[in-house]
Amino acid sequence: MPRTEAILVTFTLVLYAVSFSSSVAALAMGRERLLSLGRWTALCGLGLHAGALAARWAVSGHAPVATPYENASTGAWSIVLLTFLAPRRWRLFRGAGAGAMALALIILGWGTTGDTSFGPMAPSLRSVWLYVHVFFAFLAYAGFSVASGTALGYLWKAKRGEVGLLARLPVLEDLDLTVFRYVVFGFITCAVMIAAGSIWAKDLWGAYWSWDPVETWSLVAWLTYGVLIHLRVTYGWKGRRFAWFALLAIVLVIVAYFGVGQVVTATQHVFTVPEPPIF
Amino acid sequence: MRAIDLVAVEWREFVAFLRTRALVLVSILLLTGLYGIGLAVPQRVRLAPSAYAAWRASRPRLVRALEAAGLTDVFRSPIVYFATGLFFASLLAVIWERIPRIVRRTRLEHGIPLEPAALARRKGTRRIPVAEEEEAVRRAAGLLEASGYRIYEPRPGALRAVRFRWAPLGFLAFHGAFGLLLAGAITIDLTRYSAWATIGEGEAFDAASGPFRNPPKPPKTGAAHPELAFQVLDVRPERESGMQKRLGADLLFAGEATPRHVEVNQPAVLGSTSVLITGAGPAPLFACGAPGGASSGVWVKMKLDRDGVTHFALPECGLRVAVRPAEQPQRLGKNGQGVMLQATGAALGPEALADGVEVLILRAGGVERRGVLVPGGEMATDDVGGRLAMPEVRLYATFEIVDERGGALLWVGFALGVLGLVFRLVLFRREVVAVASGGAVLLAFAAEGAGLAGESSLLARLELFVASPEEEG
Repeated sequence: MPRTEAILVTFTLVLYAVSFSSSVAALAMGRERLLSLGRWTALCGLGLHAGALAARWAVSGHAPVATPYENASTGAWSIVLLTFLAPRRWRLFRGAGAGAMALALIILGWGTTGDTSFGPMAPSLRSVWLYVHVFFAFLAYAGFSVASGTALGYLWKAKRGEVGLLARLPVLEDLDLTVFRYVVFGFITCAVMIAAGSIWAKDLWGAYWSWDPVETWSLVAWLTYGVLIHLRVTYGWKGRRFAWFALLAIVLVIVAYFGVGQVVTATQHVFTVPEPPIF
Repeated sequence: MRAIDLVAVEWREFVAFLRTRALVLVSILLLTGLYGIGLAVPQRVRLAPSAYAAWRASRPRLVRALEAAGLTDVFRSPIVYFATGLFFASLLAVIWERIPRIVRRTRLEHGIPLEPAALARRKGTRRIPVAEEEEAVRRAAGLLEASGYRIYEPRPGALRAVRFRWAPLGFLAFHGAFGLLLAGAITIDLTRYSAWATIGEGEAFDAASGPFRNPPKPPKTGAAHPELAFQVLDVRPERESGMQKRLGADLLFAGEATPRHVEVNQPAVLGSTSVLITGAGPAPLFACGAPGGASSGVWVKMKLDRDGVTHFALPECGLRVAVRPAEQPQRLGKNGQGVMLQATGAALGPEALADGVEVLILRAGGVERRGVLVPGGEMATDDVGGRLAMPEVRLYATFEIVDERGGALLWVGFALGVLGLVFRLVLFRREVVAVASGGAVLLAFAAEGAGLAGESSLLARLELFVASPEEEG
């Protein structure tokens, strides 16, 4: 890892940790100042994180989407970014900030424990479709993650009511709508991700679709979110049922990204780090 | 009742059953579940034959049961075809039934009723007392028009404002896209030809005769192979810090004057045929000289995989030989793959043989002689003057040749599907109705998708504005 990036990532982790702690403390103690501290430290962390990604990009000569560490770092950044991109009136940071920061911390922390080195981009990754595919994958997975985090907030508040820290969260109706919006956002971006991957696969492997385990699992996750949207739009599912489904569906995304490559070896999507060359 | 009428009744009932929401959901869940099974149960097409045979031998009863149920090749099993058919039949029935309703919803005159009595009974209708009710409705029209709404005003004092009136067509676009994707997939399945070839620099390939690495897979319909022939002029793998960076080749296609350059991710495309480069390696020339004066030579395409040993024979000299690079190539990750998607584009250049080639001269009883050959060098193959030399090294590349039709349907399907989703779920139809009624204005709102929450500030302004024109600013 380049020195500049290492310094920036270290500070990012510290700021994300402070943001997470402050956000949880704000909810627990009902202090607006702590929430504000959480929001600002997250925003500063996001800026430093962007700097770390840019530093890596500048040194490696390619976008940080080629190794598991790079994907973890960019993925964590996307989650925090998406939390801040929501309109102010959604008050998303209040509802899902702690969850989003926890997720970003875990993913970035997990990434830094692996191999953080980089090399030239493999020939198979030298395609404009990589950027389209990966960009939309990050948007989709970040969208589903935020939906899931907000759903957790909804369920928590729905169970306990307007007591203590839960009174600080947005009203249930707003949380429910936010979950749906992020599910829709994730569903559309996931569709683009799958389509872009399919088009890329035609140039790379000669076939649009190969029933590769990662492909299949992504399709399963997409179809499941499709069912969720159908349940909402045609059956009018709202509230707890909808939140439970949105919360649990994230498991499919986690398996698609982290699980399949670890369990199934016969996949073209190898999420492993190259061993060092011996000559 | 005539028989034909009975059939018609049965048919209508069947179509009604197909379009029930429960069936739509069940078919999606069934497909999702079956795809999930494809991940949990080892699939024959994705396993090496030896691995599949080993699994079959270790769990014979289980594997036989799974095979009988079609679950070891689930993506092409009858139950997946049935589920897919059910999904599309259901989809078609739903779309067919919805078309008139959706088209109606694109019209401005369609929507929340404008009759005051019906509107007053409608849940969520707000009654705002005003002095000049028709004037208030006109003010509402101005505000809504300025906010991007189209106004339908069948009579003074009653209006319907609609934003994104064409959005309901998104439903048809998204679900119709599945039809295009299915048509594309079927067309590809019927017309797809694929072949793999390993070809050295200077060698030629012809889809009619090869050379092929494995027997080509002909299409289910149409000509047995595409009209394609080319010569490999040059293969160029490029490494940096010991890692693969680029892989390309120059190919001269029959009937063309200038060569085309192919790279990983940049296949040569000739009509419906694509030529993809997927790997490369060194192909040294091994030449032998026997004591009796016989001589021969062969270009040997050396295997790339770890510990891979390449066998070849030089019958004129009575030699059977096994070779491998003296220095192991870069270690690859599990399954011979390395970094993400490294599987395609794994390649070695001549530098892989810089330390020479380990050579085993084989006889019936085993290894007769062993040695290391460097480019330009030679070694003795026996004690009576036999020689084996490696005078030259050139490169070979592995190509995948694919010919298929139907890709354009997939592209259009993808684009239409995404557009449909955006229209259906993001730019959904919003509708506001304002009707003058007995000293008040009745306001009603309707929206699909995420509801009108995004328009809350506009609606709040509208209510204030209708009640009092001073609120306009």
